[in-house]
Amino acid sequence: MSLYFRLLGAGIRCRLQYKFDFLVTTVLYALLAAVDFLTVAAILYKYRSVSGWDVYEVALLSGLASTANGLFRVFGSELVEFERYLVTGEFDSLLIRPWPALATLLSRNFDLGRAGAFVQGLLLVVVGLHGTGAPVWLWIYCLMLPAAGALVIGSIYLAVGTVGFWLTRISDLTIFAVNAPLSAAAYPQEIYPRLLRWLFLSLLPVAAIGYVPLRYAFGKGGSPFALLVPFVAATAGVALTMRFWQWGQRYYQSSGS
Amino acid sequence: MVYLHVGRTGYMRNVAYRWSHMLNNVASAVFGFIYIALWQAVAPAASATDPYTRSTMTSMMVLAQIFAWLTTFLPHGLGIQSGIRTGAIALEMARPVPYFPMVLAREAGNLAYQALYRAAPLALVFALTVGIPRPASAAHLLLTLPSLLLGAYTGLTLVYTVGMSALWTTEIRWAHWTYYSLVTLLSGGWIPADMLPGWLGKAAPYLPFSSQLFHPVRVYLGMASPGVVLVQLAWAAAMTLWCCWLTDRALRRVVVQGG
Repeated sequence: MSLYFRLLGAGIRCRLQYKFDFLVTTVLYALLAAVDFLTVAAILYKYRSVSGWDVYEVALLSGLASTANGLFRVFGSELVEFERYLVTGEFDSLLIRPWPALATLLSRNFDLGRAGAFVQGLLLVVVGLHGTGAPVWLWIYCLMLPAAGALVIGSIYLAVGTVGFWLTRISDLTIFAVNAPLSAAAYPQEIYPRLLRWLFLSLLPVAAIGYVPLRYAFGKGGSPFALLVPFVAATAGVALTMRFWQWGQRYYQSSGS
Repeated sequence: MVYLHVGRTGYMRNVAYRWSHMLNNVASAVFGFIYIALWQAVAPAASATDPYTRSTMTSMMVLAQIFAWLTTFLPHGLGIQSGIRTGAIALEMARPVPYFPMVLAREAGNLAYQALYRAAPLALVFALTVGIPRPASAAHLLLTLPSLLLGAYTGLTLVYTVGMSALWTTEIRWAHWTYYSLVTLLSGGWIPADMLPGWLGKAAPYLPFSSQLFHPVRVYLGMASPGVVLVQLAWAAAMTLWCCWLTDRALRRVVVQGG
């Protein structure tokens, strides 16, 4: 772990060498994430609420999904690009290092520019909390959620990456397992058909990032246990997918030339 | 004949990955169901003043997901940027076939593949679940064909611009994401272009992005006058001039990174 943090520090210092690039990248990611939210905002501007969730509550859902994804993409950018390692056989070079391949993979790049999406999401969270008149405990609680959400998203990416040891090409699977569910996480789950709701609460648990605890916090249903769900999902997700990765890694066959 | 051959290679290049693409079709269907569910939750069941009712929005989302594979979901920068990185673009531009039509022919093959292996299976999924909306009339169905062709052409020219920007910026990450964000917001595939608030809602139907999804979908459903095809035609002509000028500038600009 100490090695990971040393590599992390080196990676951050390396990125900050290019200050202008870092600044432009961060601002642009924030702007692009804001344009994505404009689609949601335009719908809410006209209809005011979605299944009983008002504009501020939906902003909070969307903001939490953005912050969690932004945070994960800062630290897990190489896992997002894992298909390249499998297709080119670059993963071989990680396996011959004297420390775990996953730690080496994650420490290879820190996409600090993604902090822009995180900041944009955080702004939405602040707007949502302020607009709903949230109590102090909910402010503090919501500031802890992005870390849990990032681990939930990370565990899905890790599972998809592991499947890549057999399939090699995983970009299409990523769209199904990560991109589509993350889009869904920006809205209240009541609107989805039963099968999708089950999927987003179990195998691809993006509903845990914001919907489940906020549903209880805004008095729309659930029990106090709902507040623990993001952390339980993060812990269980990481533990299970780490095991899956370790097992799957044994079946990796190089495909590069 | 040369263009036909190039188009065939564009088609064959994709066939090898057809099973992987089938998985992507499932993702595309899930995206469709997410947006259908959202519109089911917010749109009015019936309205005398609002044309975008629940059933209309369901039809629009279904059609947009299918049509997007013909007009919008195109390879990043049409792959032009990798040719610039490897130096292959120098050879491609030196060929006796003009570069811009050659890229268009290759991508036409790609779109033919996408029609067969992406749009058609997706249409089947929707037909078995929420149903495929019927065209307003046979005339509207006929008019949808040129509308879709012009939408595809405009989409190709926009992404061609993104790809060619690599000659000046080396990589196209930002150009691609900017294009992707604008398409998401303004193409009418996920929210009707004229529903956007204020001046944006008034301007969006006249921007090139609307050619890609908003106009073809509305033509099919009989919600738009045949005149919108002229707007699409005007954009196609303008984008052709732009791409020819851009290609001409690019010929003098080629500085390859590798080779």
